[in-house]
Amino acid sequence: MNTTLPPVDRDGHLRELTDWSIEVAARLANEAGITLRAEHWAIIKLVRDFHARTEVAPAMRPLVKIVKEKLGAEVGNSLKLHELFPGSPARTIARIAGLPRPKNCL
Amino acid sequence: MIFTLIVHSAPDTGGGSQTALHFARTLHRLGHTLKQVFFYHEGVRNALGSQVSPQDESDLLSQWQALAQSTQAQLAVCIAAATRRGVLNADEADRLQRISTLAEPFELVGLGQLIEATMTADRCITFVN
Amino acid sequence: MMNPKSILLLIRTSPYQGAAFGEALDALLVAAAFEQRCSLMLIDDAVYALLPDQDGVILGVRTPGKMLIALPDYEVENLYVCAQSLAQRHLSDTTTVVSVQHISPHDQAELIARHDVVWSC
Repeated sequence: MNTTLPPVDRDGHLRELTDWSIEVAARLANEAGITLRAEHWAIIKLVRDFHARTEVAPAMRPLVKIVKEKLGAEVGNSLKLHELFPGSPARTIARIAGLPRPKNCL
Repeated sequence: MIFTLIVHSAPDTGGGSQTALHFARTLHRLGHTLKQVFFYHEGVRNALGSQVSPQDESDLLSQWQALAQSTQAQLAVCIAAATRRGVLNADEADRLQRISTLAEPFELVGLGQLIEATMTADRCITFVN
Repeated sequence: MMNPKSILLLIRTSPYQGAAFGEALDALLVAAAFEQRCSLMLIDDAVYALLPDQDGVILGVRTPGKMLIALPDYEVENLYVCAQSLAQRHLSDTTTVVSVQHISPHDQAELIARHDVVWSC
């Protein structure tokens, strides 16, 4: 875990989205007190794919929807997402997945 | 009635800003409530404190300031649209190491405020050009 | 939470003319995230956003057409496009990045009247 963390903005999101790597994701997760397991990675991959297709970092409502669609209702619900990515799941996932902050709040 | 106005036009392009001001003053005179003027797209340039109008043209900035005072309407400026166009308050300027350019009493806000103002107003009118 | 409103966003500007198109969609996505009942209608040069295989990276800007793909996941209820604008550009039969309903100018008036709020840009 000796990767140096690339520059981040005020909210902890990468300044250059191309700086993202699996190691960087693990570092960013660590700072949020999260140890990434297979369940986390599946969601991170899903959200990165969504962003690659749409240029949108999903807010909570679409996040629940796409996770539910692809990974099932056991993971695709608000409670489980809060458990995996505490705080604000949409923001925490976007930060760890190397995406901009979802545009639904200041 | 409660109104929210949305301004998309810059002070120096099109007549949308001046029309919005006339409309806003008329609303107020007729006893309606102007809750918020939301500045979006190029409209955020209305909040630039460093703009100076030529002496033979109307000074929109001071008209907005007077409107805010007489109506108590909030002059809300979308923070994302403002930042990319160089309209920064002291906090943002400090954080981004730029200079502060936002005029008083304009406030930088998130888009959530536009939604809230839209939800709580009876009428929501956009001034585009 | 107050009752949600029906919001119709009309976009008429071309997808790469300044930041307006992307910013307008940002506002719609936030409204949808706030559980308002949102619809979108593309008119005039805005219809070009529907063409596939676009990438704003070359221009150093966003790709509004890609953002359109996210709308169904935001539960944006209806995506409309002006049939006349498509015809004028010889795009009536074109493949689009997301499925859209073609609306005649006549029906647009009724559509606008039906919504609580209309945003335009």
